[in-house]
Amino acid sequence: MNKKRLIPEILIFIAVVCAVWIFTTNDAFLYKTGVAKITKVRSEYTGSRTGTDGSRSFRERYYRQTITAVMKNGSHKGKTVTLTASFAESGVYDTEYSTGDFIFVEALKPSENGLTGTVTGTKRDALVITILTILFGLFLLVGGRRGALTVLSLVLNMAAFYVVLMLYTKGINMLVTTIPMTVFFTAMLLFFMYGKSERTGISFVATLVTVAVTTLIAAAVIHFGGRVDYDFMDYLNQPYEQRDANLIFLSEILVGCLGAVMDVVVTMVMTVDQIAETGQAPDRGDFIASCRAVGDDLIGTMIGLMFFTNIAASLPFFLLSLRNGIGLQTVIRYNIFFELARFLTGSIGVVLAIPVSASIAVYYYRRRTTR
Amino acid sequence: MILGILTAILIILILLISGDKGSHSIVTTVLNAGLLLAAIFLINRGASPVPVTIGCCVLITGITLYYQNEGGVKSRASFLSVLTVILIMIPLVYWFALHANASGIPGEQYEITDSNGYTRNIGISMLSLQISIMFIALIGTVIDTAVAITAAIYEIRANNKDLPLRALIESSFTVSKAVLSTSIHTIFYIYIAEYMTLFIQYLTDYSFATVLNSLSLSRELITISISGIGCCLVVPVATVLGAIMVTRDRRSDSAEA
Repeated sequence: MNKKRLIPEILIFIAVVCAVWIFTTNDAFLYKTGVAKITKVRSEYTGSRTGTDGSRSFRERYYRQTITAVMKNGSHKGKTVTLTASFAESGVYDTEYSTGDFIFVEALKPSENGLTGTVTGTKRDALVITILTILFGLFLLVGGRRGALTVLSLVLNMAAFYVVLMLYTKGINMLVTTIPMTVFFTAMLLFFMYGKSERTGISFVATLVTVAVTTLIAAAVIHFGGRVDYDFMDYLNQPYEQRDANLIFLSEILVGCLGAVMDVVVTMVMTVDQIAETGQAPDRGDFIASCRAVGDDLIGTMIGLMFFTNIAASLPFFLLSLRNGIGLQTVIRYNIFFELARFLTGSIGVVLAIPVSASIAVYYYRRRTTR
Repeated sequence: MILGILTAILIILILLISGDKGSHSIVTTVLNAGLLLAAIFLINRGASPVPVTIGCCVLITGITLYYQNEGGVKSRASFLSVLTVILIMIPLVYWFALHANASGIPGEQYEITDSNGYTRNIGISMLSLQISIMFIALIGTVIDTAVAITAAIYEIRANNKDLPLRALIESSFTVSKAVLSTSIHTIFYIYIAEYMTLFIQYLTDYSFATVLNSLSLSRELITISISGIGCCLVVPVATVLGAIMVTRDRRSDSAEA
């Protein structure tokens, strides 16, 4: 890390983030729908209602907001518009707007008190693009050339994923397109990160074998474990066909464990490689013992990562259900079933990756030394 | 049924493949899940979500590092790095959560609706739950990255005992960068899997501008980015802290001997 270069780099990073922020907060001219910036909000308490989970009841305050905003685009640009909206304190299905928010406004019409219209949502593009800029900027700042490759690989991944989804919407079987995509992802990523070498080749084979075995285990369990109730799968287009939904679910499992498996495989192969580099030809027992030690260190935190990343997003739904008197068991069995299943299969992949990659690598290196 | 079989397969595999330390990771996962459930229970009882979650996160970090990885200088360095990153991230998480208006349950999601006889009057702020989610998603990746980095530093030091601090930091950075890129890909694929159905729905139903500004997608992108930024920040923090602490630890070792 070069200190002299670090300070200008940080300054450039901050400047770019600021520039992106300024541009995206002023990009209303790109939109056809009306965009306005809120200048004043008045909230009025309108009453409260109670909800109950069967044994306790909860008070919920309702408010009506009178919003004054300035139009940022269209023929009414610069004019003030008055809008009303209402929200409940918890904000389960609605939003409390505040001064400075950018909003979408539709059904603009003039009345005695100036313009009126309806709020149709918050404009969030500035936040999303800015935080992505910060993220990618940090990759470059912290990771240097490697960070640039990471960004490139993420972008290519997104593009490949987009193609798969486009093909799916054209009616092509999801799993059939996901499998070549996985092979492509793995090959590209390993090649980008570790260059063209024996290690890359071994890691590639080990990753694909592990992911294939994990998906097969998942497929067998789904096939024999009874019918999965996809009514509770988030965002699934209704109505669905059971077979189609099964394939989507399997594709999710396949992609979900890919990153973690690759992570473990790369570390394992690197270990075997280093042991082989040291010169002496250790016997199989030594190889297996050191692979085991490295693997043991990996799985704990990887399983933790799988758990939190998969489960976190179900928190609001969990509490909404509990406060509606829906029992813990029901929530686990139906609503967060898919998150839990992905966590479990992902962890199975992580654990399987250790013996698979170790045996492939050991086999390869031992054959090379004996020759 | 399916979950039961998968759990059984996982436990058997862990015990078969990684033996003693494997049983530690099973206990840790159960404890982590228990802590998360306890947090949910407390929030349901009326406790404030964000403090409960942050407390829960600190406990989880402690358990993962001290119980599973059996303490020592590596665990201490990782623990401090994780705490530092959480502290740095608090204002960022709040700022984005407060301005995105992206809490609650989006219209596209399977709904517990009033028309199905359910209530939306639950008296828990969805905004603070959203902040909690960001912290929980952050903690998993940051712990993983921090542990990988400090373990690598420890090994470098063990193989080269006379390496001065500056050189140790420099060679550790090479390893840390590799760790960063694999960690990022791991979470990237998990999120892609999680939102596959959402993306399908978007492709079939909406325009790009609608998707970019939509509650569900913008929220996911912000949560992913928060995890990723945490990952990036923990790299320099864990490298420098780890190198300093490992060097000091060795010094006191040799002084005692």
